[in-house]
Amino acid sequence: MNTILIVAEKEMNGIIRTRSQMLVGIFFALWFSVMTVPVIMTAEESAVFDQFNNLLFYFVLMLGIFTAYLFSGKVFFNEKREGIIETLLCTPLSLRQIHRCSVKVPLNHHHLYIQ
Amino acid sequence: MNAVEIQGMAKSFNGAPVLDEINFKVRKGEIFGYLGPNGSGKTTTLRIMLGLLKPTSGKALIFGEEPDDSNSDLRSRIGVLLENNGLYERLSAYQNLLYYARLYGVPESDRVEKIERLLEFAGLSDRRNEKTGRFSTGMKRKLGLARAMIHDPEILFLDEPTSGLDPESRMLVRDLILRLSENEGMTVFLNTHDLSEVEKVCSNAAILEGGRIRACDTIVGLRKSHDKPVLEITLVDTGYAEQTLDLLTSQDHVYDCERDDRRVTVALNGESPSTVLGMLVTNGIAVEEMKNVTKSLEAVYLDIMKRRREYK
Repeated sequence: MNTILIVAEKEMNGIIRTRSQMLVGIFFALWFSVMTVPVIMTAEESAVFDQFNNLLFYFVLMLGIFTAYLFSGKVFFNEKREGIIETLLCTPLSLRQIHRCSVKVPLNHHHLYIQ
Repeated sequence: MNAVEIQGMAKSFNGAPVLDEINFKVRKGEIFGYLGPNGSGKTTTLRIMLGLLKPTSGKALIFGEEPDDSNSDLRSRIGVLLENNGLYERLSAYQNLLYYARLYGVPESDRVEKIERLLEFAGLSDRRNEKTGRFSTGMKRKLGLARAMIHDPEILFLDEPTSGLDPESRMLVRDLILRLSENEGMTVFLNTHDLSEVEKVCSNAAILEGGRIRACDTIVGLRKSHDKPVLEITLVDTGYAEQTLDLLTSQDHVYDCERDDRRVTVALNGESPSTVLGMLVTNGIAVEEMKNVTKSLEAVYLDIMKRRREYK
């Protein structure tokens, strides 16, 4: 298996098992679902809601990217704090690969919430 | 080919030199001890050898190659236990080993058997599913060592492997290191303060002080090159011991003199033991026993450090 996928799998499991991160994800998922309800219900009637709908789309996208970088930063910070990153750098993984895993996983995480 | 070759390596941080002209070689299958006081540059050397730091000048070669970020083949031949254990505290002992086994590409068919064997070695078979965050320092250290060996590396870099371990576990680790070297031909680079450990397991050692190698030889060679005749004199009572200490410290041919209750240990500058005995008898000191003692590596190490301090 690709080493990136191994790290990604571990990070993904880490996020799923971390209660605080899961709660943040569920909160945003519910929040945006609730916010979208009036838009869907009045979609045919109002041009204002059409604009709101568009804005919401970009807002969710931006928020997702922001959250993804926040999570990847957290992963890096934890690995640095616990000194794991040095051990990881002694494995066949390169720094670039570790970084890719840390960014890719939170982005996937965000995509799950959007879905 | 040597397993490790350090050529004229120097490192400075913001212009302050930390390592200067470091040269040594570690042969394949050898257990090499790297000794030095705190702040002497041991960990910096290790980090350069692992490619985590770049030297200011010189080279560090592992199996003839420089261990940089792009050399993943070389890194898969290396096992590392650094100051921290490289363990994820949220994962269980088993999950940690499995994760690293997959990262190093250990074949799926061997993984379970290897993990079981290493958990057995670490004495954690019955706690395999517990999160490592709950483990004691010693348990984490042993698991860290197991993690470093998961892919059967050709060379093992160990930074203070026995720190935080109880005497029984220390012995276990020492035996393991010896077995790995003897049976599997694994090269071990041991970064440690523990002189008795080096004396028991290493064939060669280098002593680092102030960023420079002060001595590098076989353990026997190190003892010989810094050897002075050392006498252990047991006196009839403590009063005589005090008198002996006063008498010998004032002598030019006495290099070092220490007293412990009725026993006085004397390092001589080439003078024969019979001269010392004659001197004591002349001064009416009652000697119970006098014997030659072999200098331990610890004594050699302390001797080097003492000379350095005097030189400064």
